Amino acid sequence: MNLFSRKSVIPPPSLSPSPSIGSAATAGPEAFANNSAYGRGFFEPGAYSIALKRCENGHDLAQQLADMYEERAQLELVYTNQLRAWSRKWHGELVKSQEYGTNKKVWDQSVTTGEQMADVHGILSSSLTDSLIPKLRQWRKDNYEKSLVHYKKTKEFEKDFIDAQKSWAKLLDKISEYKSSYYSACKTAKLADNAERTATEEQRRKLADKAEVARREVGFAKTKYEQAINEAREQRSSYETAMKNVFERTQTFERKRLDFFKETFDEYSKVIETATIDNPILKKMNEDYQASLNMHSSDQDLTWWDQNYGTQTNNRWPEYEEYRD
Amino acid sequence: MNQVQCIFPQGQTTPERVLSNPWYDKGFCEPNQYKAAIDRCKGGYESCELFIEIFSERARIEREYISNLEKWSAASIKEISQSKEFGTNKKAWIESIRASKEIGSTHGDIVQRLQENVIDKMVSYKKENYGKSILHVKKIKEFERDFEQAQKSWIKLLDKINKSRRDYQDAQRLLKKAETAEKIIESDRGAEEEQKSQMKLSVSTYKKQSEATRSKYQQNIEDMKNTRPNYENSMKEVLDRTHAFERRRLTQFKTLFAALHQALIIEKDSHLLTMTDLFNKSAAAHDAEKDIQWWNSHFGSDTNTAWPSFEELKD
Repeated sequence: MNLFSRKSVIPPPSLSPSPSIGSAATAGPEAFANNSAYGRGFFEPGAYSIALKRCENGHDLAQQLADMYEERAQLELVYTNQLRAWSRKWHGELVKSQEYGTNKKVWDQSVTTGEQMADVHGILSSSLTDSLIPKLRQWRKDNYEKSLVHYKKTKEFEKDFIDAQKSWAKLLDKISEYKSSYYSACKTAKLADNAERTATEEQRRKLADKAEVARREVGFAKTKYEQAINEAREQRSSYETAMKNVFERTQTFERKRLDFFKETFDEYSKVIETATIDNPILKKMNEDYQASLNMHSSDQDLTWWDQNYGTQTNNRWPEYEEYRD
Repeated sequence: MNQVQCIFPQGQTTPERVLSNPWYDKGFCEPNQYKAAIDRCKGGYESCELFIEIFSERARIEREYISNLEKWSAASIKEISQSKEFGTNKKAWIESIRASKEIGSTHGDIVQRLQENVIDKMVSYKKENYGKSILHVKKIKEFERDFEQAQKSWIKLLDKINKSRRDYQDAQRLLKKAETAEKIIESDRGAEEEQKSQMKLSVSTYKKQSEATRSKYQQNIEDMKNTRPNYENSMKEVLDRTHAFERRRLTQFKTLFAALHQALIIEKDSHLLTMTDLFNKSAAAHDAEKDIQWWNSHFGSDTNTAWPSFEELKD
């Protein structure tokens, strides 16, 4: 039953909602509240539930964020382990291979880059796993303590909203009741009037009395109705204040979450940037590699080979060997 | 030589594995020693294959990483878009994912450089220089044949020397035996003159034999001495060609190692610059206050509440 005449709800011009996509909007205020709460006034009965929902969403979102980072940490770890295994496997194979000299050393260095890059990504992964994610989970735990089925915090807010709204709700019921009574009194009076007008001489007196009673009833009912409206007008500001108080606490709660998320995003970007930009391990990797490249000397390798297996080896030439007894 | 205990076992052409290394401590011109050079060529071929295998595997690992990153980024962004998040917080969340996705592009560049400048180059080098014909690598077979050719007559000469040495030394042995026997007979008062003179004749024959074989032996040695410079030159000529072949290979390896180095450097990578930019932009755009206000306008205390007013009954 539509209790109030409602003015059309116009969203503030400064914040335009994102265009909704298809029937199931995934952005904008429509999406936020599944359409059902959109367009209602906050102070209307039960409308505060949207604020409670936002609180609970916060928990789910924190969970989602942690899960997402978890997956990222995992894929980094997979990469890390593959790189490390690659580096070690081929280091072992190189040692056994036919390669020799400075060429072999440089090759070994090139394979070591796998180990070094593995270190970088290992740190990325463990920064997420050992630092960022636990922080996130702890924050979630601290702010969303559970008691049986609900979150304590949400339950608290709900209780406070209900308290703030209790007497107002009763008042609205009263208004509704008195309004009905008034309307039915009006209808009755109207009927009585008509009856009086169309009545015969003898009935007229009786009906006139009835009409008179009905009119008086209308008066009483109207007064009662008006009084209730006035009462509402008087109580309105303290009601608003009470509701706002609770609401502000949910706002603060949400602001806290938003700030924490921002912090987390910042930390994430730092972890990523540390791994890739001006990374000391990568710097060292490059320097080591460059140093070994500088030492690569085909001449040295060839000379070494020639000394050990080539023309610089000690040939034994046949000599005249005298007979010995 | 004893310091090599701590070094890991090497391949056959390195001197450290003394006991099982057949080429160690032999002179290059000695028979079959050139096989060390052939082994080196073969080793070079195997090195090319090993190189390709190692870095192809590396490229594969990179590609898998890139693919995982892209999948994760796309799935995360989709999930966030459809989530209950809202406002600048949602944007910042999505943008931070998008920013970190740039790393995928960086690694894409790495793997492209690795593939084109390193692996593919080695593949074509191997093809050009180690062309195969059914069973073997043509070039290597060529070297082998040339060595054999250069060494063929030398080996025959060595065999001749060995044989003539044996002949001479056998003759010498017989002579000594005969001389000893002669001495004994001479000092034996009961010996017959017949025996004595027979013995003298024997010794004389053996002496001649010994001299003949000795002279043959010495002649062979002389021949060897004369042939030696030519032989050494022929062998050296083939060896030099294998040196050049190996030098080419070492040079190529060095070039490719340098290319690999360049492939891995991400210091000036443009994607990382983009990433930093995106991170900074998204952090700057995050506005908790704005989000709070927005929500307040749509669902909070700034919403248009209808308050009860006196409503007259309409006819």
